[in-house]
Amino acid sequence: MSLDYKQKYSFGADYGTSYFKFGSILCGEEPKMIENRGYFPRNDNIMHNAFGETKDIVVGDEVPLYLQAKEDLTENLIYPMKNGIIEKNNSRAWDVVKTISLYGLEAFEPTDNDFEGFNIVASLSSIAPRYMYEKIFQIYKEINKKRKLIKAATVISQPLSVAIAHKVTTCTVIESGHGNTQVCPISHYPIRNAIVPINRGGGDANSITAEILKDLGYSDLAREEAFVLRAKEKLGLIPVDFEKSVAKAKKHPKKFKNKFKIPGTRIVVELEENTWTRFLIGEYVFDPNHELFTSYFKRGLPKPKDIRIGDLLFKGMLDFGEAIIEAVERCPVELQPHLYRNILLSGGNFCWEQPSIQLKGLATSANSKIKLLLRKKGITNVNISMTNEPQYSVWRGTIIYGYAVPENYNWSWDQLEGWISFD
Amino acid sequence: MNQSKKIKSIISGQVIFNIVTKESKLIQFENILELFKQNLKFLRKKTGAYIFSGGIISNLDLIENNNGSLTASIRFNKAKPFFLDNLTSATLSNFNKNSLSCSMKGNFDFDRIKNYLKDGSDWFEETKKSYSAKKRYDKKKIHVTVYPGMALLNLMCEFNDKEDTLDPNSPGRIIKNLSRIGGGTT
Ligand SMILES: Nc1ncnc2c1ncn2[C@@H]1O[C@H](COP(=O)(O)OP(=O)(O)O)[C@@H](O)[C@H]1O
Repeated sequence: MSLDYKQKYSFGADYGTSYFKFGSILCGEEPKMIENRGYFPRNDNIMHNAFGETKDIVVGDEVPLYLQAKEDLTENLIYPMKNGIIEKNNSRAWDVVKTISLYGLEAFEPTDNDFEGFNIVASLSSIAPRYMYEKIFQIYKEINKKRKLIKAATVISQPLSVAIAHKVTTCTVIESGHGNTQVCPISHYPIRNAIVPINRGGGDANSITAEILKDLGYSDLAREEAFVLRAKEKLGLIPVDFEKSVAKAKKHPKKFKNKFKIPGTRIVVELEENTWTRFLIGEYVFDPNHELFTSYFKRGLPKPKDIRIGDLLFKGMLDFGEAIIEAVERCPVELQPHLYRNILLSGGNFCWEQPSIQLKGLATSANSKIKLLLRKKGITNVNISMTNEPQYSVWRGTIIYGYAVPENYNWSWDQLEGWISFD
Repeated sequence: MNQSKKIKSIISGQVIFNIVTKESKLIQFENILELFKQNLKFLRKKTGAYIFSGGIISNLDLIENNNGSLTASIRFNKAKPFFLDNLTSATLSNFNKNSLSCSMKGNFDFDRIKNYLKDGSDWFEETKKSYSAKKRYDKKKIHVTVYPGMALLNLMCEFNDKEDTLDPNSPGRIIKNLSRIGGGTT
């Protein structure tokens, strides 16, 4: 009986830095995805009063329809999980979390009369402090006040969810999303004091792509986030050896040509003799320390900053190889070889397409790049795998976890696992 | 390759069945994997997933029940209808019944599917975002839930009989039929 219930009503919710990935177990293996953001419209203008129903917070696909003047975007468009952490009393951010959570649950609310609420598994950043767990449970409780959508809830950390989705118990997970990257060693549980957070993610790759586009004369387009993102995904190449690949591309730009058309428009982007810049994008994701980037910083590319959130330091410029070493070396010595032998890459920022055969030796995949970075530092006995569909692996883990954890296993604040029941 | 009429769909989901056994979990796990390898064409393993011709088994879990029996949960992805059929006949040849939850994503004509499901259904309900029906399909009782806004259809059904591996009652056939009604070619 209870397994049947779970087969129908398990629900996963991955609160990413820029995307909220959610869905019931009935989704199969692909969640629904909306941006993890909320817009607080100004409800004082005529258009709204005359025609619109007034809304306090808008989330999901409707956001673009409500956006008003550009100036008020920064103030009224809120990405609550931008750093993976929300301050305790940032009530606007928590309101957004509540609204998107409700949005997700309602989207899958069933009509069947055996429905008593979802078993929801929420996934938060590995560095989320305990009060965020408390806050999530509290939000779920509030959601239930209106109508019972949740039967039981639990929270797991994103890297652990990735490990679960791939059935490995001892590993190092690098989860790289839009806003940041977390390197998290796992041995059955996440090893909390070994986590290395990095204040750099897919969003930074967008920033350098925008600079490149500006240099090419596409300044207007470089201001459009959606366009930059597409350009990044289409153009970016991960170099085997940055200097050699750039030199080669400068000499033979045609070899690297890749024009792309923006769907629905007449615009075609061509790099011509600047195809070498494709490598800037890929290199920047993994290691932004080459001197070639300095000129971009000087001209206005925002340099990924070191930031302190709570008692954690997020380094901006740490290369991914160094970050893995730093994290692993904080773990017991006997464990270290095992952590290197099972490195899992997850998150959208690792979604890079496999480069074509013609570029062999010049462009490479994300996992080979990490291998190269580690080799440079003398770490060779490694095994790096890319998760299947990296952008969804956290969500998949939440569904598997929700299905496998017995219903009578109660939440424990010491272990941070089990169910909180809302019955 | 611009056949605008052709609707591409992705099929994924979960099969569960019970195992009464004295063997350890680990041995059961190997046994089930072996069973699949004998009945489906195994290609390779990839980060915890097993890639077969026609579909991927992304997760295989054995969950202990209170009475000591085990429930196997098999999650699959990128499946072709024939993969569903082979998966079902493999499990039915060794275990007595399985229940399938299978989702199909694609831009189907969901109104047509709705009309089909409504017609002669045992139960039908609709909300703003979804509709759901229980209906008899040849010898099978199927439960279908559809979320048009997400281009998602879910089929739930139990299989327990030899006949369930054959046309028209096999899971692959049922899915194919629903897809065809929605204008797909799966
Ligand atoms: N095919 C791709 N190539 C390069 N980057 C990609 C690709 N697909 C997604 N991304 C990037 O992944 C990031 C989003 O990753 P995701 O894991 O969903 O983030 P989060 O969970 O933190 O919201 C974005 O910066 C996006 O541009």
